[in-house]
Amino acid sequence: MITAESILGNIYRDKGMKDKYKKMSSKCEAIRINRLESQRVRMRKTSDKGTDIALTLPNGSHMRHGDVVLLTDDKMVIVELEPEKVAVVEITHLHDEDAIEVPVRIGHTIGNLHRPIKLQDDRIIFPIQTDSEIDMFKKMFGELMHHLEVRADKMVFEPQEEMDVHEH
Amino acid sequence: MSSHKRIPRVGVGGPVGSGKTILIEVIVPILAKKGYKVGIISNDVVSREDADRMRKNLATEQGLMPEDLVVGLATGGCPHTAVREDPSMNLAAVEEMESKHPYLDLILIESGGDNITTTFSPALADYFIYIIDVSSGDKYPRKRGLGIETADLLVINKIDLAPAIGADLKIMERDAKIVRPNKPYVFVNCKTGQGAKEVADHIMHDVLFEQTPKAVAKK
Repeated sequence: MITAESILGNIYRDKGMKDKYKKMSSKCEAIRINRLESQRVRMRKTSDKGTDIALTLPNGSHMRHGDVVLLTDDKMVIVELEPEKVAVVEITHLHDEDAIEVPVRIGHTIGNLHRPIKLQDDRIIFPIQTDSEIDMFKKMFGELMHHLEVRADKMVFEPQEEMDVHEH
Repeated sequence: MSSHKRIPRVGVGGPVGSGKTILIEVIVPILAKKGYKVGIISNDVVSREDADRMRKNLATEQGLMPEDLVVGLATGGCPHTAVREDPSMNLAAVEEMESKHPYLDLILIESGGDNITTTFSPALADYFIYIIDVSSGDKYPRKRGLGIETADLLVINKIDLAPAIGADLKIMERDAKIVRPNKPYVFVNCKTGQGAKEVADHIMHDVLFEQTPKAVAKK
């Protein structure tokens, strides 16, 4: 068992770590966690290459996709978030007179169901448990559907940091 | 910031009557035998009945821990909200325990809650056990919900009652595997202790990392 006690950087966010990752690609291994686990500070995981890793991170740590938790001359261990089911809401038609009402009503509907969200270009992305929730959201959006497309997808979901809420 | 050292924490959740308290009562002696020292925080709506029972059994009668290491919290509302949305009351109790009893190896946090809503805030628990029992029918695992799906370990209790109520354990096992791919489940009978060692083994491996227990506290 190897112990990892801190997050050393991120291969997608830090250039130095990205370069190191490219150089060490054959020595890299990954541990896979879900979004709930990304907020935990203590866990035991086996990497995709079979390494037994005990994580004991400082209180309040939050792991992100691509975080490096262990780095030695012959080993680099990276955190991978499990892809999960999400709803993708895309605003397709928006006239000037709707510029406030439509986004506010979309936000109100999603917020009422206590979902964390991620904003990407003109899309609003939030987690769902089953594909059938897409139909439920289409019904709830009602007339707003003239302005929207709503579909299910599967992806690594990392909420906007200030828009992360508890879920039901 | 608190200066005391963080003690590993395990959340034990499940519906009323599923066997949370008795599960703790059967796994604490197994952990104690290995030398691990455990503190318990028990959430209830208005009473502190479960905490009183565990204190009497584990502390007073079996002498496995000092009496002040079983703390009852009367949450005054659905207990699951006190371990999920706003765990501040529980965090305060945990931090007080960490500060007063730094020699502890583990803190168990018990809270009632149904399969739809129950999960432990990652700020509060490092590991989450969800316990159900066969008397609600063999459909329970496939009904899913946060508790059943997100728990690190699913415990299915009262397996001795399965024939009496016509519950098929094979169906429960099949559905647990479908609903929780690659995640463990354990069938137990807490009345006899059957399966309790397996639950304790998961805690020792996944949370305590099989490390040597801390030195015994000085009096």
